Amino acid sequence: MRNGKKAFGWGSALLALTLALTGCTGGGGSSASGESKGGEGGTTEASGAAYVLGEQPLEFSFYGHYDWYTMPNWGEDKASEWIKDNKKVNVVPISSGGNAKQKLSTMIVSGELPDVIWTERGADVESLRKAGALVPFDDYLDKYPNLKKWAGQETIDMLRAEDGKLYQFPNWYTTQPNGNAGYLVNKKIYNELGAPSLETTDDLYDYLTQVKAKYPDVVPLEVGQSAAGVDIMTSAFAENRPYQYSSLSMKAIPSGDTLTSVFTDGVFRETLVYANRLYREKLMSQDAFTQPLEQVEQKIVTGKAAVYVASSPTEFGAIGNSILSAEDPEAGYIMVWPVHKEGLDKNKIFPGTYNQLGWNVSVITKSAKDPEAVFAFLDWLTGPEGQRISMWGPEGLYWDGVDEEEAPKFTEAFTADTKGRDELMNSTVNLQWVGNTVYVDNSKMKFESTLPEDKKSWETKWQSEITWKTQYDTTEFVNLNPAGDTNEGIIEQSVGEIYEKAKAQAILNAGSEDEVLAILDQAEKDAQQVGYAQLLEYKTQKWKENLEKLGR
Amino acid sequence: MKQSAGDRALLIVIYALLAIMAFVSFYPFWNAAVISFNNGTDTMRGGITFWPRSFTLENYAVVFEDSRLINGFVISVLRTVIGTLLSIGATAIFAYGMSKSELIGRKGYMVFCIITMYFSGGLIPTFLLIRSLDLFNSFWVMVIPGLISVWNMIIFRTFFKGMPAGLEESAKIDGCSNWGVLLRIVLPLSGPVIATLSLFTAVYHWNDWFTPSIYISNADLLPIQTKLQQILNSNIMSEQMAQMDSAAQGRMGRMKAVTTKSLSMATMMVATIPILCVYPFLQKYFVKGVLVGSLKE
Repeated sequence: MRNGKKAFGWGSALLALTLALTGCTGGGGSSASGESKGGEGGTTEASGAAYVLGEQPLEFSFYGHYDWYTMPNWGEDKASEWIKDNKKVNVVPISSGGNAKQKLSTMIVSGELPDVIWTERGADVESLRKAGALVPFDDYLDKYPNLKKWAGQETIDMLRAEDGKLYQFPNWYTTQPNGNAGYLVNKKIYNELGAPSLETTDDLYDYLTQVKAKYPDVVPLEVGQSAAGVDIMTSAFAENRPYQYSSLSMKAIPSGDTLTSVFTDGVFRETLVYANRLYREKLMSQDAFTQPLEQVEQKIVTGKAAVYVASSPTEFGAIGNSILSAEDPEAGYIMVWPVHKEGLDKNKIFPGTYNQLGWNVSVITKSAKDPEAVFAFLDWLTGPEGQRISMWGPEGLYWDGVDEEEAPKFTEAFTADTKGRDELMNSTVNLQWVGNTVYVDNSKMKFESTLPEDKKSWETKWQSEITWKTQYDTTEFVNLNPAGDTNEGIIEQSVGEIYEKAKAQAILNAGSEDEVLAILDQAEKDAQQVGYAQLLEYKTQKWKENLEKLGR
Repeated sequence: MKQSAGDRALLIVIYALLAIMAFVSFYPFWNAAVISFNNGTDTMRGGITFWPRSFTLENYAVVFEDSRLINGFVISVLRTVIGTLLSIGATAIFAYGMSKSELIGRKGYMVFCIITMYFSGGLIPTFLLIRSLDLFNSFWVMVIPGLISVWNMIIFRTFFKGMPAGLEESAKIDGCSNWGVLLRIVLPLSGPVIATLSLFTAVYHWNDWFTPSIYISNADLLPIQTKLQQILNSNIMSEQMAQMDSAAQGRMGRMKAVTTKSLSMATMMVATIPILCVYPFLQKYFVKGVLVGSLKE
């Protein structure tokens, strides 16, 4: 026994020593490699001439920071094959292995960063920047025309970091509304019920009641997973009121020049009262808080929902419409103008939101041998030529030549060979890293407007007629969320939990309007107790900074 | 002996329960298989249970035409075969040494081994170690770090200890070296334990997606399980989505929609069936093997 203890003591000492040793060498090694790579980057920056794509081969590694993201092999689809052949660019995928968070941490610690990281704006980018791992784009902005031209100064300024430099290359940035949020309506049921007016929230209620009476196996109002549709519906109860204010991500209502509590907000309360009534009377999906996305998809695709309100109902709607209308020409889906509360101006109702910065960003790390060349490529890719090729393939297949605005002239095949076209577009959709909303949307719309009604794409039709007109610009509210490890971040987390619980209770458990309001009052008390006021102050501060940057 | 009514009732209950359990375990697998044979667009309509509604082999055609999945499959097979052979070999050699009471410092070695069973360096230190060993982004990272399994070593050791000492002595008298004793006498007599531990090791190698996800960035070296993990993830609504505005949600949804559920299921089948096929061959050793080392005489 004594021997065993002795051996254990020696063992622990040796273990500690080993750990200490490996710790030292590991740290030393990574910092040294970081420096040498930084040095290499510096040489290209010094030269003044712009980098010309295609003159020399360019290869860089690309990492998409998402569990679900798999970058297609570069050169295996028509678009990247063309880029590889003509621009001599090769992109080497770095896989997240379905384990993005840990993968990135290990890469950061070891200094083995990929050349380009494609990720959400926010905390990860900021910590990389603070660690000095990112390359600023300011020196390149004037040399390469596209980002500056298409994203515009405002967007670029909003993307700048605290130190005033630009490190992020935006994806699907825009200066015009885009998005698909709104109300999808089952055409067959709607017409069979005599196509009643669906303008106000009362109209909607009456319509849902009719559906429930006549179609017992149909869900009158489908609100999607986690009842996300209820969020969208807050837009109906006030003018110029994007749902984002009272969504989980923001939880702050602008009132004058400060942000105030969501729980005391009249619009949010009214929406929950309305949703609670729909739930109690079985007019909306009864399993809203538990159903998986797949189940929502099934209901839409099989036509088992009369109205579907969601942030992107067109996705399932387009599939459902084509399946249902193939079986029965009378069936399918239409979209209706967003509903509003009686007395409001319907042109000031905005069920969806977008922001100028778009979705996510690419950053170039100091691991890149020639960051300027990588930037030059991204800038080309986001420009008209890059967008045409990455969206619709190389010239000669589905488009031939361009017009005076550089929009592609689509060929016959674009509408005739839809299968081939969709296959091509599906093969490149995961290569859209620096999407240019304005260019792509306008090119698409321009072409659609020349088509006869029956050839128009279902989705584009509703986008042009309804959804793009009813999306609200929320650029001034980006980046309001505090980092998770700060005091405000912890409050954000707690308030978020209170919010989710209160919302679910108000919709599912409340037996009357008074009960809904009581639940929200209690939530307000709980939230104030964990420091909601401090969080709101932080968000107000951030909002004001944004307004300043935007010059509004 | 005649069964009483009570016995019979009990048997019925037992069989019924076992049948239900078997069904509950088997059905999800069967359902996944059925969905993999169903047309992708039709699957979206739901309601597929025991039989495909719109039979197609298209999903499998896509899987087998995808150079990456096939590549991942080859990596998985290589990794499983090489990893299992080397791991069982190395562990057996180690265990043989540890089974000898004349080995100096045997207890000390054992303590070192046991420590590794309870403590690990954690992800980041391990990563740094792997990288400085130049194993990062190498096929061997899936094989070498797991070469010795202490748990398997203990089972081997106990088994070896149970062999009659006379066997080895007579071999030595006939002029056998230590290696000769291990390779010609001990291992040939260890069939059941080798079969059982090989199966455990092979299943581990086949199923492990985590090690490659962290230590391998080169997509050509990833085994099929890691790719499957990515594919299945694209069917999950991510938390990130709740934080985005509706326009961005649409963009992300479009990217994820490329993989249909039927396709995911076909990939899953391709990634699961091969390892299932190993079981029948090792079945006969299995029952004998798992009990090995459980009793010390």
